[in-house]
Amino acid sequence: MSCWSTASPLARAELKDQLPSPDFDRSRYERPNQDWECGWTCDGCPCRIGPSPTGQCRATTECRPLLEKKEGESKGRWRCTRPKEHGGPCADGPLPNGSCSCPILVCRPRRTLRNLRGRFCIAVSAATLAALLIGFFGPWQWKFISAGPVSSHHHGVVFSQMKHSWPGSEGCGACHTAAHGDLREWVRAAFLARPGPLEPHRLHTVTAGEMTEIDRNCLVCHPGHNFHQPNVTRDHSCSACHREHQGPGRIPPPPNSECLSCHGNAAVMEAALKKGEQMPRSAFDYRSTNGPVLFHVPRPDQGYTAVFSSFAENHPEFQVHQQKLKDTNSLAFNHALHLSDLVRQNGQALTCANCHQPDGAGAHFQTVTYAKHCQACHALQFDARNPELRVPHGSPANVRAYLRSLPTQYADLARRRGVTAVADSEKFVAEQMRLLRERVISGENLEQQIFFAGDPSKQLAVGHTPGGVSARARFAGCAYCHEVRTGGADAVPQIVRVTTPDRWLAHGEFHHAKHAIVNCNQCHAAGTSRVTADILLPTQRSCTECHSPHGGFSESCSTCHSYHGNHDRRHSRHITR
Amino acid sequence: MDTVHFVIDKPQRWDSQFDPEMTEAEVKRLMEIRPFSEMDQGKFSKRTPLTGILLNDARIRRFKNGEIIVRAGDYGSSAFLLLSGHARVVLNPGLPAKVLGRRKSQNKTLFQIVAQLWTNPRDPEVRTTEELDDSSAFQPVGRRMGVFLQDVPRILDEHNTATMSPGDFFGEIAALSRAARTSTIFAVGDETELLEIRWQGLRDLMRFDDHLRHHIDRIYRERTLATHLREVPIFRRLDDQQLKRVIEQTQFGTYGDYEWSGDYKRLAREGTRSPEKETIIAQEGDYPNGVVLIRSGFARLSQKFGHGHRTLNYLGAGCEFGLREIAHNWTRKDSVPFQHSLRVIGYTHVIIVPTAVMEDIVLPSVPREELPEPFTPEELGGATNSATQLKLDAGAKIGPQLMEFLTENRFFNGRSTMVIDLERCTRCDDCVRACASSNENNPRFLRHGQINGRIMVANSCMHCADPVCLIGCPTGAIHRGEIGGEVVVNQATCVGCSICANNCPYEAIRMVEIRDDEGAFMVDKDMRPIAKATKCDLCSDQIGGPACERSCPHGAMRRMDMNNLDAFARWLNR
Amino acid sequence: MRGFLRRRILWTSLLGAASVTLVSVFTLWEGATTRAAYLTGWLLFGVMVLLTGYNWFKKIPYLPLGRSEVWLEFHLYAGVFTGLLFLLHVRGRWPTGWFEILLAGLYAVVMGSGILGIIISRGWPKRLTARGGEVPFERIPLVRRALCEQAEALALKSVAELKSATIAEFYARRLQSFFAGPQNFLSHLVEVRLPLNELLNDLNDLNRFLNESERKVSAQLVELVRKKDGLDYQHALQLTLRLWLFIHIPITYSLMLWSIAHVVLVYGFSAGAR
Repeated sequence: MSCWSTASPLARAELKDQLPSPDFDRSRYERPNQDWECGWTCDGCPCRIGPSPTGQCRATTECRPLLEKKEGESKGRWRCTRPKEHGGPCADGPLPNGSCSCPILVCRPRRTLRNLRGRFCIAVSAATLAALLIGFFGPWQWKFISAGPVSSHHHGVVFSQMKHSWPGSEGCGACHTAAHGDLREWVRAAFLARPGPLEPHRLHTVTAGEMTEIDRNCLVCHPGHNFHQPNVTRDHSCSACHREHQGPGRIPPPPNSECLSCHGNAAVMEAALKKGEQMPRSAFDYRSTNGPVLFHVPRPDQGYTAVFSSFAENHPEFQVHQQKLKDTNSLAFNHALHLSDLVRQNGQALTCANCHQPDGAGAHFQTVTYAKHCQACHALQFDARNPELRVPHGSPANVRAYLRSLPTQYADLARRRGVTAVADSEKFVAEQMRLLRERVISGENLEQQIFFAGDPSKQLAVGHTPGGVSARARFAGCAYCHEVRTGGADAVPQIVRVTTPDRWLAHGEFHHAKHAIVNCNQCHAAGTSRVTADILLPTQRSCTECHSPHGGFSESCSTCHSYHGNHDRRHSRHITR
Repeated sequence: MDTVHFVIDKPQRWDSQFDPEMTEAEVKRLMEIRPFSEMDQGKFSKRTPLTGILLNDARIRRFKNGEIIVRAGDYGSSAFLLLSGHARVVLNPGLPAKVLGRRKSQNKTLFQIVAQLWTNPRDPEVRTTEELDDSSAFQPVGRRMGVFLQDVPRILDEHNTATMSPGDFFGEIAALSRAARTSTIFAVGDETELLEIRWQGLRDLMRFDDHLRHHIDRIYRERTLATHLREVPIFRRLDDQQLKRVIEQTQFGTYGDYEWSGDYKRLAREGTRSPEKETIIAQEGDYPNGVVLIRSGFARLSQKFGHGHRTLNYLGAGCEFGLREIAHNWTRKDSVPFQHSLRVIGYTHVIIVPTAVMEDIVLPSVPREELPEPFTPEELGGATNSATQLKLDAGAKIGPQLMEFLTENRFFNGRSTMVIDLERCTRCDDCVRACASSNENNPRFLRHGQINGRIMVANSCMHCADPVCLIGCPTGAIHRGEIGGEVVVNQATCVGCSICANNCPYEAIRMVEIRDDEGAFMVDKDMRPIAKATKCDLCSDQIGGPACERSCPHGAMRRMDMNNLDAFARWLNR
Repeated sequence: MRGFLRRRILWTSLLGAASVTLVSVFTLWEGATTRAAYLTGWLLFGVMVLLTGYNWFKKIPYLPLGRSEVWLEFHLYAGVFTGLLFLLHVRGRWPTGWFEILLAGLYAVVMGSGILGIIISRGWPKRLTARGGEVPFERIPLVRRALCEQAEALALKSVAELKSATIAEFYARRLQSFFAGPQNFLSHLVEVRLPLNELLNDLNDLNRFLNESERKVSAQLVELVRKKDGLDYQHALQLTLRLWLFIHIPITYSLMLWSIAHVVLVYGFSAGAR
């Protein structure tokens, strides 16, 4: 006999670990969509009437009795009309007055979960609105709406004094016109903004750096918007570069995108070029007269209007190299020679640091001077027998005076050597003068020799250090290093003025100490420079070896450049209103 | 071993009379008129004599002028014999729905749909007077409600009708094959008298009276078999002559219990139903005596597995059984028996085309490549992994347990069954709320039902292929929609008798007590609340289909056609 | 390919494409305009409006606006997308002003509750199904009452029929409160069965003092206790599946209000600055 492999549903249900589910076959619909449910629901016995849509209990009685009159009867009988589904006619029957004897218990209807959620949403929204209004009108309204702490620039003593100009706004009003009023003013200001809140589609048309209302407020304290190149065609937004509310401390440096909004934009650069061409050249002569001496770089014909996108990619070459400029210094100096083994000091070859000594901050170097850096080797000795005697450095007139007083100088030397007797001293002077005359024909001739002789092979005095220990540098005459000209007043030869610039890069800053990890000669090719005319600045390419995305160091514009400051390095005046 | 027996009265054939008012006198009168006078009473069995059939399975009904006897589209389980007076059949095209007292099936306009946002009443089950006062066609006739055609002369003018005279028999095909009535028949003249015979009686009459059987056979063959066979691909190439010969030899039969829906759920719960008790139409291993075509109802396709049977699939209307075996035997000159069993589930009406007819007439007309593939030796040896077998074996796709679950609970009936994947469903009730918003703030299903593993079949109308709820509706308020075939209840004509709700085996119809727009219950003269049958209408008046399915945020619910188990299996394994 | 997987891949690739587009467009904006933050802000606001719209979409299910399932998918992935937008908008740093800290905080709460919600929405149905005893949430009190009445009847029956108060006393002491209302909410949430086991142990201990017929009653009580525990489990999980929206939705509206105020402040005070 075949038997069915499957068990009955009941037996299967027992096999499963699943609990059985109750049956609701003949029950009413479940109505989670209603707002109210019978208060007895949580007791498990809701009534069949249910609450009204407004949450009133509508429980009355279980039926409405019906008056039945048989023919001929005058009073009739009340009959229970409770339907079969709800238990059929009740045992007690209606009361004599015709009302039902089975009242339904009155309940307090409950909101359904769904309705509660809706109410909760409304309550939370109302609470949020209230919180916003309290925040907007309460005592800490400015702290509440502030986008974050302002920078120390706008938080200092000077600034806090200005709070009084806009009472109540804790200084917000200095920058934000909207802060001159309350919420109504804020909304008004919002709708006055261009593009306004209702035109987000126009946002992308806002080009970088347009002056906004907040920038005009900047100009109240920081007047004059003329601190960049004079041929800038339009004012650039302050707040675009200087972003406030970024936390206490300094305002973070502006992003490249701000600079590139003009320098990366061919149209803007073209306009600037046009404007620059219209302007007199003198307009660009804004070089500061005090402060460090800058190497004079002629302004290129097209100004600084090359279009580029980043420092590493296509930033223009430094002007000294682009214009192939030469150092016009009159002093003859051979870096290669000085750094070679031929030149030694105290037995050691010279290094850069022997002459180039950092200044206090380490950013730059002290000026190289004869007295500090040259004299040790290049003492101006002219008499090999008396190395102590030196021509004074500095002024040709002093040299002439010195040479004309040579007998006095020898007498002085004798006295310093301990020859105190007059006769001995005179004898020493006469002897030295005689020897000198053997070398030169006359005093005139000596002066000519000292001023104009520049041939290193003809030494005036093969020297020794004052102690006579080591070989001395040679002094062939002033012209050895200097450019000496004839024909000054009283026929004193003139020495062309030596000008050593403090800064070679006019537009960029460079901090040497921060670059201490590289050797000098990695950037400055001093070892191969034989003439003064060589400018030993590195090229822009060598900078990008590090300052580029692949080099890993910042290539932001603000690393080297300052937007302001070429014109007047002083900070703008703080004015009071 | 001691076992407990419940002693109950065994139900008898005629425990409940069709009409208690049917009297012996009337039976006597009937026995004197044709066709009963011509029937040979001796042929009837002793337990079901002709007089008994007439007394218990028939009733006499009188119709007034214009009253509708049967309506096109209704489902009914009885046939009619015109005793006196006249009736008219409305020929094609039929009467419009409005005239027939049906709800007009129409979509809401976009504005009406948007307006639901504020027009939906806040109380449950509110009915407006316009909704209810649609019943001009309804008038009480004695104790029952009748449906009357208004303005009969105009209908006679405007529509083609045919007259029926006393002695004419109608409605028997719809009753026996459980199909919708094909045309409307209404009474002409106030003294139209008809004998209504319920289908059980009709079945017995046919069994014992050759004349009636031949008569019904003939009508059935003439009217329906030809069109039905034409729809089956294998018969499509036959010419009229051949088709006629096929029809002549075709057998048809009805199996199972017409009103299976009543008790089966209780029986299924108790576990007393088991497939082996189901009537077998064709048995695995038997000689294939013909191709079985299922005309209506369902049958279970099963195969021996171990010591039991495994349900492979269930076959619904339009499916065939046994064709492959017969084609195999015909092409291979082989004798392969039936490879599967076919059993009745509930009720099945089948057409059987005998093997001889198939081999002589049908198969030669079909090109070889269109015939089903012959069985491979492996398949005959019991391998179950061939392509055709896998295609047939839905049980393997959705899992045998779920297959049994669907079969046991007769969920295969659903054309739009609401299945919920409980492993995705967060029980958020969005579907219920969506349903309520689309139905005047009333949910039309309960998000609960039979569970098997992770699948729940919710108590929502499945819009059955074989809608048992339609049987017995006194006013035809419950009917199929004209376009989608969805089963809907006309709230205006529903009298609240709850026959449909009790008939529905899936608990998808619920009776509600209706309220007016103030929220007060509506009551009749006897202070009894007025109830209406309510159920899912598949959002047929909304645009965009069922709101429940669309509103499920987790894709946990689907309206599935259970006759397409492939789609169901795909959904299960998504 | 399985449906869920395909859908996930589709949405993830959409999200990826949108993110890549956004980031590249954002870099373009950064170069082209000073208002990139405005643009991301408006975009963020717009997406948030769409996300909030899901709540309203659910109120009009009869309009054929597409399937809620698709909307939820959009809601989820667009929600993740707002995370990226948010990061771009705040430029990856937490805001410093009180107003904006609160705004970001609200956003974080909404985002967090949403993530929590999707986790429990995807995970807990499996737990509910595995445990069984499926019941619509609103019907839980009815079932509880039925169980309570059955248990009480059993306890009373034991007194009346078996002439012993042991079970009734135990019922009054231990079970009455258990059946009275939802119990052990938290332990159900974290899937700890300790309270049930304790109760069953106590019932088991009680058996020592019961005779044969009383044990039958106690076995029935055990069955009821299991059912009630399953019901509490359903209650705890289904309630939580509903309650997380009590955070997500109201705070969403707070966030939207706060965002509108933010827009006003930004336009009123920035006057074009960023």
